[in-house]
Amino acid sequence: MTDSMEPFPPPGQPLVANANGNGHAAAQDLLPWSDAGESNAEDVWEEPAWDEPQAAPSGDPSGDRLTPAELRAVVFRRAPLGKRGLDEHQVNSLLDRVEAELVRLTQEKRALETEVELLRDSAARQPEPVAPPREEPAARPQETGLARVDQAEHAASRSVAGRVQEAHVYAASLLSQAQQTADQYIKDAQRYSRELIEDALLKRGTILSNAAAEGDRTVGVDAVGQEIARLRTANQTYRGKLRDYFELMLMNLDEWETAEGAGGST
Amino acid sequence: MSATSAILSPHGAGAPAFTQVKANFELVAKYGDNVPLYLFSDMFLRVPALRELFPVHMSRQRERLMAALSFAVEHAHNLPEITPYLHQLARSHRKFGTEGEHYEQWSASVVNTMQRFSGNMWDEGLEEEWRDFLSLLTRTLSEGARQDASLRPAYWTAEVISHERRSVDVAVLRLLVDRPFKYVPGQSAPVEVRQWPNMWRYYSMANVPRRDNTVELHVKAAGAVSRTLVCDVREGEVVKLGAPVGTLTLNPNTGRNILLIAGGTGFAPIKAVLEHVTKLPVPPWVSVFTGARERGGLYDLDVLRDWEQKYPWLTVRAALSELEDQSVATTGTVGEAVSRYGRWEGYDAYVCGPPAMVDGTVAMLHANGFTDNRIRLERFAGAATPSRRFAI
Repeated sequence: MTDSMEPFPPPGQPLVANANGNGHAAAQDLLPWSDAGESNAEDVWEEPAWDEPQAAPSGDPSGDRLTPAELRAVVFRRAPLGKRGLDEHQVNSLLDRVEAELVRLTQEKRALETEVELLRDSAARQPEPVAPPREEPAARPQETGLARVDQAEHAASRSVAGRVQEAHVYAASLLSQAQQTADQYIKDAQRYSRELIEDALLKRGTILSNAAAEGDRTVGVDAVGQEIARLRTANQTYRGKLRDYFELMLMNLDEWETAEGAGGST
Repeated sequence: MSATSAILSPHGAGAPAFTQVKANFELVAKYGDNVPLYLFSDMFLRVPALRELFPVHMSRQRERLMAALSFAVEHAHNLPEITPYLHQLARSHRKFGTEGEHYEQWSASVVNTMQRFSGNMWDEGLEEEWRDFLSLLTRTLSEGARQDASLRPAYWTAEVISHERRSVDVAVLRLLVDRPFKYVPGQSAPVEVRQWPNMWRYYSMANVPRRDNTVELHVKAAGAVSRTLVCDVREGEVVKLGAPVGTLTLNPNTGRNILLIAGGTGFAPIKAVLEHVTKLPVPPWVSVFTGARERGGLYDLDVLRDWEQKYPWLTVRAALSELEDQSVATTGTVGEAVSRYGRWEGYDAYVCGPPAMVDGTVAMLHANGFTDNRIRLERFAGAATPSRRFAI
């Protein structure tokens, strides 16, 4: 929980410290002068709590648990002489253990169900920062074994709420980073497009003012155009006249040939 | 100090001072942008559907949120004092689809965020005070939203019935609004286009309200929404309109003459005010100065010249500041033009345009003997982007 109380890390600082893992090893290698006692792993390298999902605390640390394999491997002694069947004492003691195991399993199942419910609730809505210890005096069991399981359940749900809270904070940090990245991309893109447009408008302005400044030359071009048109017309006129002249000449030539031919034959 | 009794009588003398909340907020606010960043993330994680009420780009939202929250915290000891502001805030949030329960989710995220940044300063007493303050706050907001909901829709839809590209980056749009759309000439309204969900940008209506529910908008392609309106939007497309705001409206009872000064598409509200004058039984003398950098920026000069022919009380002068065109306008800024014609003793001034132009013009008006109560500027209630709206 202390982790979640720390100020929000700045965007540049990695939230998941995995990337620093090698750095830590390297730091230890590169700092031979530091006392072994000083370069305590916890000082340099602290694994974020959300990175190592701890195994749920085992309900029974005694280790005296009945396993299916054990049950399968059981071999009952024959009953002592004078009695038929199997050793009654041995069978009864096994039955006791089976019963105890069933009770324990039921309790664990219930504890897990509560935990699942709590997790579901937490996922649906933000839980109280520190899960309030839910008092259920009516359901307080009498047997010491059940009471122990109940306490374990409370401890488990508290640690679950804490981890859910940490996960939420972590998720919020991730989301914040994603949002910042998106904001930055959009800002960059907008700036780029704005620069492009400003540049284009500037060029447009330059072209327009150049065009305005060269207005006189435009008038000159017009005059040249008129001159060209006049010359073209004149050209056409001269061509026409030239054609007329040549045709006249040809006509005269024809007449002359006809006259000469006539004269020659005569 | 009983917070419960304070909730029962928020206007009473026993209103809580919320000193803890104020001190705590001052402390937390030092974390800057991280605070609203975490607040929004917390809210979106708990209620993912709320993300859809916000634009993709959130930095401006974060600034606004902190501005609003710090303003409210500052006045926490006397929220009734800022009720008009809070009601306006709630009104302007209706177009986003904000509802009462959203304020509660928001409050929960505020508490989570404050706790997150308070470290070991956080305790139950502080949390309770925050919750009390936030419940007072959200109650005022919900009340404002409820009152407004009885008066008008959360937003209007409008069809683009004409779209004229007047120059390389200016377009004049006509919209047909689906329901009666009441406003005072000179006001502006937020517009949302399909291409940019949840990005509302303000544009002034360039006409007086009409019976056929059509409005005219003048848009200069400056930001994303404006560019879409100028370049992409076609006739037949539908946009959303929010409730109108703004104070650049005609004060018809002064008996004084009117000086209207516009820069770029800042001409839109000036045109609406001018049209308002034409409806007066006895119009005062009106001088309009409209300026732009180049000829394309005087995109609506023809209409002005027509009106000048039609109304003897109206004179129109245009100015071009960068690319001169003596056949159309004088050269220089509008401020210089106004100054040149200067005998403005009996006039009230109305100014709208890009920030630099407005600042320059106001300085010039002051130099010409205008006092602030004789100048009306385009000013936006609660909008964070006045500067982007009328960029030339």
